[in-house]
Amino acid sequence: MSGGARPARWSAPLIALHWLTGVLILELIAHGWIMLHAGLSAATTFDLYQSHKSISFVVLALTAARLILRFSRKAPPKPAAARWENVLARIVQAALYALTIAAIASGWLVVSTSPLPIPTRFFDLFVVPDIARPDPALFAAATLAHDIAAWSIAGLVALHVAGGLKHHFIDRDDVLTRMLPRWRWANRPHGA
Amino acid sequence: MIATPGMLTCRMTMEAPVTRVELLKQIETPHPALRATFSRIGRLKTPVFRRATREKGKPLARLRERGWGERYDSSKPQCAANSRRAARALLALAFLQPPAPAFAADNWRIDSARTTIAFSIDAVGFPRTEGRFRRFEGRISVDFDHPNRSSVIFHVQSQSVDVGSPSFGDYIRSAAFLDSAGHPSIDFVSKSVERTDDHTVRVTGDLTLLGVTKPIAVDVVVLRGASGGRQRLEFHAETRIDRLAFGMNSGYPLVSREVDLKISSAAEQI
Repeated sequence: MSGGARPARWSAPLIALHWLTGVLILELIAHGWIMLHAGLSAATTFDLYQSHKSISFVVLALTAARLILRFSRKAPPKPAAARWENVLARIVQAALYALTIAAIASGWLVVSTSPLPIPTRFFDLFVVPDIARPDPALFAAATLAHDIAAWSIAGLVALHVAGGLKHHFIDRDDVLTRMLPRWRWANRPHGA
Repeated sequence: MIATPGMLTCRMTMEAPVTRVELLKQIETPHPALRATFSRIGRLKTPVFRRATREKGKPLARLRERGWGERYDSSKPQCAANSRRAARALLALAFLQPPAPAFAADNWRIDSARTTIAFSIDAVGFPRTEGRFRRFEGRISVDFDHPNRSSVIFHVQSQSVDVGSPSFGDYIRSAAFLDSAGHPSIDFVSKSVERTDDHTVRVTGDLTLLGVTKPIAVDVVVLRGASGGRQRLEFHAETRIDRLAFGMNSGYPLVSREVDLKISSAAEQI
């Protein structure tokens, strides 16, 4: 992170992981809302719960890989923006990492402490172990935490996207394009 | 299932060896022509009849007590029943498959395609679960003149539960709910049938679920009709059971204790 030359762009694996987890996190939020509020049948709802849990474990693994990559290489230089803007951007980015892990951990806790233990079958391949015993009080707390984390992520993603678009269209810098795959943008000059 | 008084009495008092009972179970009611023949055999007390009815290791005296070997007297219910039993045993010995069974006015064949055994159960924060059992066998015996002699037996394979999703079904089949591996069958055996009005009977019987047997009473609407010259019966029953009484406690109170059952069936006279 500190010292040495900063790369101009994010590394290709990090870019891939960024967009992949981004899409999957949005999917999980929509998925969670649908399975709770769309009024579907019990069978469909059960299947949606199972796929929600399976996808979230994929996101957990991808996020862990992403954190390792993120801190094993230097980040591109900070954009020339106001200090508070850079601080805010960094807080939002850090919060997205933290809340992603918090949402998945609390969801895992919800599943584990549920008074009705339902085995989590990871894409019907194997059963993911529980991390706690059934406990109604902990279940209620974990459910609340999961809800708060999910809605916070939704809000922060909006802020994160707004920030990226602001850099691209108002500041006209490379903050957005250096996170885009090279095959599309390699031959185009970025910035003003 | 023949609901004649003699038959029922004999069934209840007879301590038949297991093998014989199994034999009798396998045999359908014989064709009228065969039945007449075998009644005659019974009446003649021929050696064939004796051999067929002799029970290995049983003293002859004990058999006589139960009416075996007595002169055939159709007014004696035991004799009538024994004669019928002998006829069936002979049939079994000869490995004869009976022709299409057709004689007893009180025998009905369940139309499995028109039979549904459905259930539904509520939960907090989860849609109402509705499902049905796909595999079952049952016998219905109806005596319109003496409704209390009617009976119904259902054996439902718990494995065959269908809730519209294979993985949800696997979960329902697990030890949390139906425990299909440990308890493959859900059984209902009627104990009494009483007529409550023109179209309704109250069937009381034993329901065995997860190995626990509890009495339940079900109001059954019985509709008579005919199709293709054959008498048809339709049965509709709805009842509610308390799953906790059968030791199915998973998820309570998140998942309600009441399970609604909805059974409808159609039977054709045979």
